Amino acid sequence: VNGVPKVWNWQINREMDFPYETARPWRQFAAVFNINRCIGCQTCTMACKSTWTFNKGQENMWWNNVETKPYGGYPQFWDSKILEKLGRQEWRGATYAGKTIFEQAPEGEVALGYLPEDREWTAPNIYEDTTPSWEKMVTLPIHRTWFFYLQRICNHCTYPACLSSCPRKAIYKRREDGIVLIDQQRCRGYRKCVENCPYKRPMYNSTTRISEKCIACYPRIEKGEVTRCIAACVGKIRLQGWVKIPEQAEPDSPIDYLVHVAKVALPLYPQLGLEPNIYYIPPRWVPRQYLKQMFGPGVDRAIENYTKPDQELLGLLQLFGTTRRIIHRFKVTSTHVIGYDDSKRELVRVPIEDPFYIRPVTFTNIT
Amino acid sequence: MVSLTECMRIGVLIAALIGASLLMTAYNLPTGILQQSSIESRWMPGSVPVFDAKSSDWQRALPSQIPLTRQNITQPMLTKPSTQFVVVRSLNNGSWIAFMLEWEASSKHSSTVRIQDFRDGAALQFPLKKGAPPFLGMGQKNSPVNIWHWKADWQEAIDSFFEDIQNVYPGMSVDYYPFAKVPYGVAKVTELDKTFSAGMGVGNPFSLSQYAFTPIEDLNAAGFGTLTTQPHQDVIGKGVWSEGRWKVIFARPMVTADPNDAVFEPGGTTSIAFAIWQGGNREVDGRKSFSNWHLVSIDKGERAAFPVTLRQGTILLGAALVGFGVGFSLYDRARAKAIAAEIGQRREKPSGLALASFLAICWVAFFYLVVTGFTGESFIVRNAVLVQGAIAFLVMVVTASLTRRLFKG
Repeated sequence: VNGVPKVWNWQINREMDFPYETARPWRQFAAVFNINRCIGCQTCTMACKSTWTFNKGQENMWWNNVETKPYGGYPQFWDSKILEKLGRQEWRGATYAGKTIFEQAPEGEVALGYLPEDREWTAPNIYEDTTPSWEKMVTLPIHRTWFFYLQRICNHCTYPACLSSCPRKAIYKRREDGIVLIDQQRCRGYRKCVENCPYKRPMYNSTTRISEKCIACYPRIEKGEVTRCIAACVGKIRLQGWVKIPEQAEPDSPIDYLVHVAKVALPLYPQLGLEPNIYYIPPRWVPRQYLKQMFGPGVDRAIENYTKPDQELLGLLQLFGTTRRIIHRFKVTSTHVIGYDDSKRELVRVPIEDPFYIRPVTFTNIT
Repeated sequence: MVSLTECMRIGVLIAALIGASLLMTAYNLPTGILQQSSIESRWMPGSVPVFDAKSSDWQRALPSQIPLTRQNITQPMLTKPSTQFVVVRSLNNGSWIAFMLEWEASSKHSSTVRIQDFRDGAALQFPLKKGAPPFLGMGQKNSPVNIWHWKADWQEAIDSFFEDIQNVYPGMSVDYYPFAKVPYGVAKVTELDKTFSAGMGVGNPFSLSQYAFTPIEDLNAAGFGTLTTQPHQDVIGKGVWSEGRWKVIFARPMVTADPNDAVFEPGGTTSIAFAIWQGGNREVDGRKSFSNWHLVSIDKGERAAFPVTLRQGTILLGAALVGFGVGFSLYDRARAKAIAAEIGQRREKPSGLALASFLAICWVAFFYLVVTGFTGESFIVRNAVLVQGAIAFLVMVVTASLTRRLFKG
């Protein structure tokens, strides 16, 4: 399209169309979710719900949700719906050769999208864990079904579709941390953000008649604390920090290390073209083709590196869920991993290998 | 010379014309000359009908049919044509000005609770600066516009009640609303903790629509994406949906203290543009039908408005028709008497007084029809200058023949 700025999206390794020029924040809020560790307990979901979305009009609103893949989704079938609309697309090596949702925008629209109706937002998780062979019962030892939990919050994208499709310019990306917010004063409830965000993170509030979305717990981040969903994680699957573009990656930044150095953490549906900033360590047991559709061409290497971690990565993986403060830097010694805050003060020191105890046989039932 | 049978024929013709006109009105067929590009805000004495779309005062206003096109200047666009036109009437009394918009909407959409529900809406746009109007797309930098936006859901909240989630989902179940007075019941919207209903907390007019005193929002804009609610709301009005049509009245004092409000000067002109949203078609934001700029000339009321309203006119016409009947029968009886007298070799003039008074009524009806036809206050048919002209012509033919007959005696 003429007159549309071209922006660089490192996740698809090419330039792409976007309605605005690139405006990267001073630093970008990011997190890595290790899918391999998630037990689907929904503590993150409830932590978010009880903090932000307990009021009237938010009954069906879950800024954080955990859905069971491949069948689950909140709203229902959000990813298969947008992928189907996008059509079959190809990667050529590390470069995306297909079209993004901005490049595939229909006439008169900024991006490809759809507006999920009320029934798609109700009853999240219902029947998600039901296996396709439940009627016959699964016969052991051959286990032909697979599933995994996908933890989802707003990706606070570098190229947000919600922001670019808002005709009011009521959505903004904060320069200080890259958090994407809906201005509750300017929003007029047009629901364009709901329609055009492929991850379906902006949600419509039936009572206030305007849209709301995950705010990355910005009042906590401003105080140096991680978000509620990350702090509450029982399985310690989440690590929050800041991400840079590959050329400026800092190896002592935990997120940069996982994303750019070890390359074990991958963006969700990078082919949509939004440069999302929540990164996932893909599950080891899931068919690779499915994972490649979801996380792009880096899946094989990510699982390889995650399965055989070096000392640095092994150490860093122990930092997940160890402190409610944001870890800006980390250092791995031969025995410990140390997390530092913004002013290089030590926040947490964790042993890489837990000490090994052998209990006397008389006390095996006591921990 | 007009015979009785001829008179009957003409009477049948008049009745047929009136019938056709009424049918055309009923089906809203364009029946005469419609103002296409300019709008006149007609001066009227007394108070402007702000809340009553059925008020006969609206018959004083010249209706203008404004063509609309799908918005295709900026995203999001309307990709298929939707509302084809809007009929606009305007009245003023020197201190208040009112506009009535009328458009076809096969069903009413006044709910915005479910995510897939969008409201019907209508808007007027006026430039703030004098001279050539600014860019149609909500004005431009240094040349802002004043927008009046009517919303069907706000109207519903005023007319009946504020529709909340439990009205749309009566079977819903909720565990608990923290901070509500009755946390385990269905909390009232007014009990909510506004910090966590952020739209209410920051005073978003949509979030506070349950408190709205007017269904019309008074706004300013200076280009795409700049639409801003005014701190002081001055526009009032009312929308009524019936039989597949919305009729919405927008009214405001012609001059306000707010420098960001459009100004209407008696005897002056201003530019105006229109937009219509059909909620059933998920029309919202830029997905709308809109018009180009048009000119409104604001009648000063120097020329006295025609003193006869629709109701008075109807009574007058009815009286004329009754007079016609009574007069004609009197005349006919007198004529029969005269003929009888002639046969009996006695010359007797027919009684002229009844005929003359009847004819006077007929002439008044004729002049009334002509005058109202030209002033656009035609009371038989909406906009039907031509049809009314034809009726007036027939009345004139009958009346003139009878008058000639009277004087020929």
